[in-house]
Amino acid sequence: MIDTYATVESILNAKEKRAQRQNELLARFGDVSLVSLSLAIPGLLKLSHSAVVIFDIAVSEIRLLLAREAVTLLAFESTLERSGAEGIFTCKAHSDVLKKLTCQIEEAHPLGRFMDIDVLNAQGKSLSREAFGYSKRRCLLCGNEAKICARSQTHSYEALHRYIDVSVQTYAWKQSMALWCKRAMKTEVELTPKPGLVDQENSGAHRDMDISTFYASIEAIVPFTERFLEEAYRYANEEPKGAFSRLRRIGLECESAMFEATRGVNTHKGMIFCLALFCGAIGRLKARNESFTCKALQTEIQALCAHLVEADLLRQKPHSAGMRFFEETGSLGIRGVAQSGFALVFETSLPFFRERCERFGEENALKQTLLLLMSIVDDSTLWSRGGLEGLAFVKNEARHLLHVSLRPQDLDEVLKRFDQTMIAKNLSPGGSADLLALTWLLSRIVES
Amino acid sequence: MNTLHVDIQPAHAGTLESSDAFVRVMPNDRAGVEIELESSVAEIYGDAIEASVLQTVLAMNVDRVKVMIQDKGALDFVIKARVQTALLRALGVSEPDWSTL
Repeated sequence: MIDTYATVESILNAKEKRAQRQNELLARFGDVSLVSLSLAIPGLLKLSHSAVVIFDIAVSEIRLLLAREAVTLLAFESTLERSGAEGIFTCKAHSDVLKKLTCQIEEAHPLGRFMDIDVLNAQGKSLSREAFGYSKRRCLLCGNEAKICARSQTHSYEALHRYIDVSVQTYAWKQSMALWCKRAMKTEVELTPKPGLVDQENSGAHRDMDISTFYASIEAIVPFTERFLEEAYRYANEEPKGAFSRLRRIGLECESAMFEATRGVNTHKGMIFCLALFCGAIGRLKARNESFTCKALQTEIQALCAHLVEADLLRQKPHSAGMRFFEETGSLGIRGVAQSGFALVFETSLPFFRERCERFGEENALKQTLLLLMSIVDDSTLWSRGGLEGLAFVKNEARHLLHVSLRPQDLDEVLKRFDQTMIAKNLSPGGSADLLALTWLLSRIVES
Repeated sequence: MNTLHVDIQPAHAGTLESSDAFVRVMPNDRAGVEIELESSVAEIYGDAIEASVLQTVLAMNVDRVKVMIQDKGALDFVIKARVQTALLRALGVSEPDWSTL
């Protein structure tokens, strides 16, 4: 839904619905004030990636402020629709006090200009900024009065959105990157149908999880992606080996948070490992003011993982599927993929995905890329459930489907049949799913 | 030629949020269209807004009507849409026809 356009009709309806909802809340709670948050995003692309980042920041700023001022928050509700992101805080506090405080956020926060924080008193009247000594809102680009620039269409929507994106990149790059990670995980799990994997239709070959387990897991992981980025950025001068240890420590915390959210089910352990490395590389590049090219990211990850195979696989007793996989088959698994700087993704799945995207659109391209990954990855998740025989079956079958019998319009039928076969054989290509999410992530963040 | 609508009920559309307009329509004793505009940009755009409101009302063949607009910096097509929706509600039509805009 993020980055898709709204219709004029849906935007106008959303405004009326919001006004109606405000009246309902005032009628239900009586003597309260409302803080109603929406965003000042011009045009029909109301729910852009940047808009969601700004919205999340605005919500936490308002929460922080309410807590600091010891304001009782009676209810909070938020909706993210194509027509825009909005939230309503029902507060037990005088509306004047709330307006003064929220004006400060609008004025002082570097992204405050994009926040529209209305305060309504118990009678439903919206308080004006001018009554509290603040000026009318200025245009994002030229500093003239906003309403005048808007009416005369002085600036193009492209220029306005570019300005919003640049502001987010400047003041909230970590939150923005964390949202890309979150969207990558959601894109992967929501892709349907997928052979053997949890999707919107079924739980594939898994009996202990479904898509809601994945949503809970994603929510638990996202705050840690920001911590990976922050830690890597702050200690960017440290040599890679030390940086890797820092990332691994946070990664283990992240794993515990995931297991807590899923009640002990392993949904994203491999993904956390990969995200730690990517976020680590991104944080280090950002600190050196380097751009996120394929080459720079790959080199940085190689440096972070330089000792990984040796340290983990050659010197330790195996205590994970990936380690047992190595001991029994000699395959380096995900650690080998990581130590190569994810060459498999940068050199194979990413170019493939981009090319298929152009020809078939994103969803179809994702499904084809999943088959591609399944046909080449030594996936320890497959091996742990089906042994070498299961792994070989999946690789051969995926290769056959992708290269021999594939007609794009039949893809869903083919995948559904493959799904049934894999469920019957209790096989799940969890490693390929992680690499698919990473492929999508890179397609969005890599600069050429 | 469509018939002139003169039998309307009071109705409203829109909100008082920024970038929106709150539009009320009600029957009027006098023939014609009476427009009352309250806008923070009235000095610069008042005439243009009134002209496009009048055009919208005439296009819908409504007569003996008073249109009150509280504009909060809405774009032209938003004001038109709000006026049209208010009039459709005043006429008892639930689904607006966006294609006439």
